[in-house]
Amino acid sequence: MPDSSPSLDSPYLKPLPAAVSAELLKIGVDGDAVLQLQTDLDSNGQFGERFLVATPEKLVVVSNNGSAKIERETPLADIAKIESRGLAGASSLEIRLKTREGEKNIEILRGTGSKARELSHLATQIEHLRQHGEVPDERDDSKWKRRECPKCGRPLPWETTVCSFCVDRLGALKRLYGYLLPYKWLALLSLLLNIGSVALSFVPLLATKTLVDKVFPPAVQTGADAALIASQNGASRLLLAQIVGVILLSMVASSIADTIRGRVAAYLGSAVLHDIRAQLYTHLQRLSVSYYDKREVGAVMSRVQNDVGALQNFLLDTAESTIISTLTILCVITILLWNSPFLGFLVLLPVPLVVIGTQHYWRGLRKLWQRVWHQNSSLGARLADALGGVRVVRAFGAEDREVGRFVSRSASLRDATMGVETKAAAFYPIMGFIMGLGMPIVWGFGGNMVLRGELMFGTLILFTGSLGRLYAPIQQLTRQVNAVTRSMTAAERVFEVLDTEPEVVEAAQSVSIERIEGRVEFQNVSFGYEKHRPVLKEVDLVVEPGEMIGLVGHSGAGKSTLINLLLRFYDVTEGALLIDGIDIRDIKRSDLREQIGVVLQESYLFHGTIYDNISYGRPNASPAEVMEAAKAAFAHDFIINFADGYDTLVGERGTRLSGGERQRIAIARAILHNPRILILDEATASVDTQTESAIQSALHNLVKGRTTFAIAHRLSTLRNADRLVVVEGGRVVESGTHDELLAKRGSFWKLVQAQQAMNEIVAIGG
Amino acid sequence: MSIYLEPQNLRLEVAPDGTLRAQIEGERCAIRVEVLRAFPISNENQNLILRDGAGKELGILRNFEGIETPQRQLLQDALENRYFLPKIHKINAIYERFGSAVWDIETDRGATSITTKALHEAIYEITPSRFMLRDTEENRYEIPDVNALDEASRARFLGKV
Repeated sequence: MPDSSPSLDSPYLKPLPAAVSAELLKIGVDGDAVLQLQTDLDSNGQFGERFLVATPEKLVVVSNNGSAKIERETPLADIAKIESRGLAGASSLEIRLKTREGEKNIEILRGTGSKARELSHLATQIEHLRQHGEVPDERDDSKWKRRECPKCGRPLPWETTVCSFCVDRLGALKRLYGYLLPYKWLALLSLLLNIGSVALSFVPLLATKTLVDKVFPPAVQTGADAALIASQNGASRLLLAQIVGVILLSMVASSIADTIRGRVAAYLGSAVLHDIRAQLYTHLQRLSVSYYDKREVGAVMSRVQNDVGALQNFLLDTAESTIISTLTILCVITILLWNSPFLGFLVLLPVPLVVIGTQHYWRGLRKLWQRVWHQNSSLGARLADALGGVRVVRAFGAEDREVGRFVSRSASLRDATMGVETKAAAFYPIMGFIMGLGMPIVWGFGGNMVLRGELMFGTLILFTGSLGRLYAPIQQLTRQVNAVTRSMTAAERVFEVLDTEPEVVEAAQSVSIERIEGRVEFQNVSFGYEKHRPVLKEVDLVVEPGEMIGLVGHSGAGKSTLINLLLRFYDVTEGALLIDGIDIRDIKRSDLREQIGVVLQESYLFHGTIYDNISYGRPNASPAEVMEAAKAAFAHDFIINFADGYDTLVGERGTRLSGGERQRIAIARAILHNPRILILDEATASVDTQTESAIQSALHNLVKGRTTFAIAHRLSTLRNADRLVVVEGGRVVESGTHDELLAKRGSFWKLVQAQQAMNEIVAIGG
Repeated sequence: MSIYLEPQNLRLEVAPDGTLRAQIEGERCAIRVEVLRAFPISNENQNLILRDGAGKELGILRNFEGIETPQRQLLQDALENRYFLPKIHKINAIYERFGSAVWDIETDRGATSITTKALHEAIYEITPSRFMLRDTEENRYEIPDVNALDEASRARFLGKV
């Protein structure tokens, strides 16, 4: 082993800086390091480089700021415990050191928030090393190991595989082009039609030149004797008829081409858009629940609707008009330079001015527009907020204050709008002037050339006609740069969603379980939704098949998190969750989902009939099965009382159901689903006591013969549970039957006491 | 245990007070019996629920099979009596003004004129050819099959969907 690095063949150990390795070598650490971490804060809390290296015998901390220095060397045997602590904005690693005077807490390492996950993971690894003499065998390192962007090497943000530095605009365009491939012949046809239609539009202009030069020679123009002209112009009349015919024909052809072009473009744009939308929705359904935790549903919906809408504008409109503008400009320039290079050059002189002016103006205007949009949405938010909370506003007599706030925002909006309009008012006249310069140039220089006999009069007419076709597309094109940029940003956002990998993935060789027995085992499970903030800590719990477990504890204790893990909305950070002795991550996902049923506090009913909602988990259930399930859930009778029975529409826009009715339909849904493991998360919390007892009887039918986890705030709800498990601060602190726990006078007893005290207060107050 | 009643065990008759009486062999006799449909829209002639006057369910009839004609007539009369959902078979005209529409229709329960508001809310599609109309008084009307309407009625209706 060279002395440059004490690294093993482990992928987690990167080579250390030479100076650090040298220092380590001095104290005999050479090739036997099993863990290491680089952090970014020194012992004074300043930015700096520090390394922790662990061997099976000891921990070494080396600082490397200017020169390497061993800061600490502690034998693992002297450590009673190692823990990471989340601070505000930073986190640290602390050891509990055994000394002669007793145990002492010492901070040995510190890092900024970006190191939080690594620090917390390192702590558990060292703890394992200390206890078992080896590094734990890890099946999944993606939870704590920071990935790097394969393109630029920058560390990727957590929970995403998309590097914000490496999305390139052209890349988005290329990908959009990829969606065109299935329609490549149509796309080609569309392009050809575009070219044809632009070319045809120039035919009348070119024909005019011939008309002027050949049909009406100077003799006509100078007003020679009518009889003379008439006698000479037999051939000219024929030519005139031909030219008019050509003009007419080109107009007809152009109209036909335009019609076909429009249809092809509409078909193409809509088809591509549909493909993207379908792909996006499919992907959104595949993404893990954690994706939706971090984003508001509204934001995701806006991404599906607005960003795809922006793409729609691009595909159906911007893309095509960009092509047409470009082709038109090319045509005009070719015609001008072909007919008279000198005059053409002169006419093109104002073009750079138009481009620069438009670009500059739009850049400034966009900023102003953004201000207007921002003011507008903030005004809207203010309005929604104040009107939504109108009762609070009245109750606190804050009407005047609210009016004042609204008026001041409205004034900001007024100022922003005025700014935009002022700028716009100056722009168009100036641009009009610059573009208008082409006309005097053509008439001045061109006219002189005609008089000198250097230019045909028809060519001059051609120039004046072409001018109008030149500047408008240039301006449009310059403006479209922004539209294209905006569309590409939208495209990127859509692609970013498509590129996000689901966090919870199916194991490569998943195990199929046809019928789950229902044995659930939490083995030393730790888990946190956010880096470094564990919600569950070292949970050990074994549940036998058919057992009903009541989960109790304060809100935020981690009860629902246990459930989320069981549903595999998330994967454990550490430890393992076994069902029938198999790691949940190895179980085929569809098998798992089919055999776990849930009734939540607020059951979501889809828009559809009651029958559809009950049979959601088993779409091919017979009416008899659905009615049986509804009877078991005590829902059948009230359903039959509706005029439309099981055909009654519920959900958004449907019949309004009471909370208890919705719950019972949800329970019927769970009964029909016939899961092996059942989860009741506050299933009766949102209904009154009377309805609760009806639901309780329904639930009683449901839990029979299934492993059940029930969470309830009202402790009385759980009296049927075989065993109660008390969760506190992410740990299981007590478990046993209701009576056992009461006799213990521990956490559960306190919860019961608190609730009774509460009930008394309610009784007095009520 | 099946939730269904066996037709041979059921005897229906009209009681002296004019209401329906049901006798379930070996079990009980119920008076003031009501007949309800579990699936009035999707499957009106199956899964018929029999309830006594107190609202307690006697059982469910799978369908009319195995029930003798006089008794079947009693069941059908009871259903006919309970469920009022006129089926539109002709649309003579639809006048639209100020966002409401007045429909001049002929149904299996006779001709009438109904007013609907905001057509996209008033017309509800059950299947691509079957529609439900809801008027401003919350009455409902059914078009069982658009394709079975006469040409002019269909054109009038499809022009509004």
